[in-house]
Amino acid sequence: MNKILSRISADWYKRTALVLAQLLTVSATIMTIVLLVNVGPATLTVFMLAAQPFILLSIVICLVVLITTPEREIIKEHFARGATLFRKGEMGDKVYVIENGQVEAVDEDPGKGEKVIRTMGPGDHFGEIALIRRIPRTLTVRAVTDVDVLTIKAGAFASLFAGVPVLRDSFHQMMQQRLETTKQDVNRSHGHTEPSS
Amino acid sequence: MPQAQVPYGVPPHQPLTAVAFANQIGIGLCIVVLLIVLYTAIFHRNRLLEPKAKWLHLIGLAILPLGVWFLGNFVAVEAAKQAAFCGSCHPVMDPYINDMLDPSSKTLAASHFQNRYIVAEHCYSCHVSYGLFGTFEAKMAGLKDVYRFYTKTWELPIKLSLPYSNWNCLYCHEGAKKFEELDLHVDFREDLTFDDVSCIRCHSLSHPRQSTPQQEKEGA
Repeated sequence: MNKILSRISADWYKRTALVLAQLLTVSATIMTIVLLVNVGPATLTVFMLAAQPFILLSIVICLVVLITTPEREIIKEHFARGATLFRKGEMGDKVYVIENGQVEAVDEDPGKGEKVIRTMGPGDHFGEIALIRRIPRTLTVRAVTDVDVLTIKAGAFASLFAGVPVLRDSFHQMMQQRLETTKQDVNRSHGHTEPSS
Repeated sequence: MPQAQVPYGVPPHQPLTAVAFANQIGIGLCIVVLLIVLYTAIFHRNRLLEPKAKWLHLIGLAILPLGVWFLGNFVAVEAAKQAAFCGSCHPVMDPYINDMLDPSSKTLAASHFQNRYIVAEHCYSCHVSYGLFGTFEAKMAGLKDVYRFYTKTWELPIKLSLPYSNWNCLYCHEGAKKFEELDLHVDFREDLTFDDVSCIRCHSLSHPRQSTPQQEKEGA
């Protein structure tokens, strides 16, 4: 986790460059509006000598930053309170690790309403079942508070899963446990009784 | 003497022109750029490198500003071709503009304006090379004039930066019936083409003579 966070903070110079590009664009745009509203020698000179270089510089900065920032496999995402991270039945493409905030896993049944199956907080992860078993999402996950999560894309997760046996076993065990719990909770909420074995 | 009510900027009664259209689109584009940058700065403040933010940067900082740059240039260059723009450097240009608007003036500039030989862009039409980079060269030279104007370092009488080329006259007049009917034009065609003889040598004064501050003082 620390490595991931340090990687994110190592991008500070790119973020600074983007903020600089934003400032250049805003000032150039304001100068251009002034020019378009009133073309005169002064506004034209300001446009030629300041706005034009600002615009071109900000385009170059923006393109350099975007080109040198590859599509990351692990990214930090933010969800506002009440936002849905994914819905039951959707195909999954990433695994989530909660950094801050709380989410709830909800079983949505069109005919019978919904039931909160579990609540998760910092350090918890979810979304792996759909990737490992290649099945649609089994539950809907919603943000209870504002949430910051690290999302691991399917490709990166598959590499981790295949390359680290300990992790794979741990995930398998936990997944089995979660599926069991989910099944029991869902059955209980929908009035089914578990056949005794 | 000055006749401010005479429209010398653009011809009157025009429908929506390309410049006016570009102006409106340009302002709209500027507002969209500002809104995108504002949105990104507020809602993606700490997540500037996330995929969604990257798309917003691409649109708000690269693609749309390119349009702003293009439209701004187009409007600026087109507006800077108008005589009204040249006349905005008042202390320097007022004698020329006043002469152009004066119905009794016999200068070439006045006769071209009074008779509408040139419909619009009265200064520009005679003071730009009609080559590929004519407008660009004229505007770059114009920036020097703007600098001199704002730093009050201009000197009277103002001078042309380059010798006046006959090509600026011939661009419109050569091939015209009135021009070709005159034997002298035909006889001197080669000299005129290669600037060996200036059109102005025979065709009166192009603008009123401007006196130096010293001459003005002596005159007073």
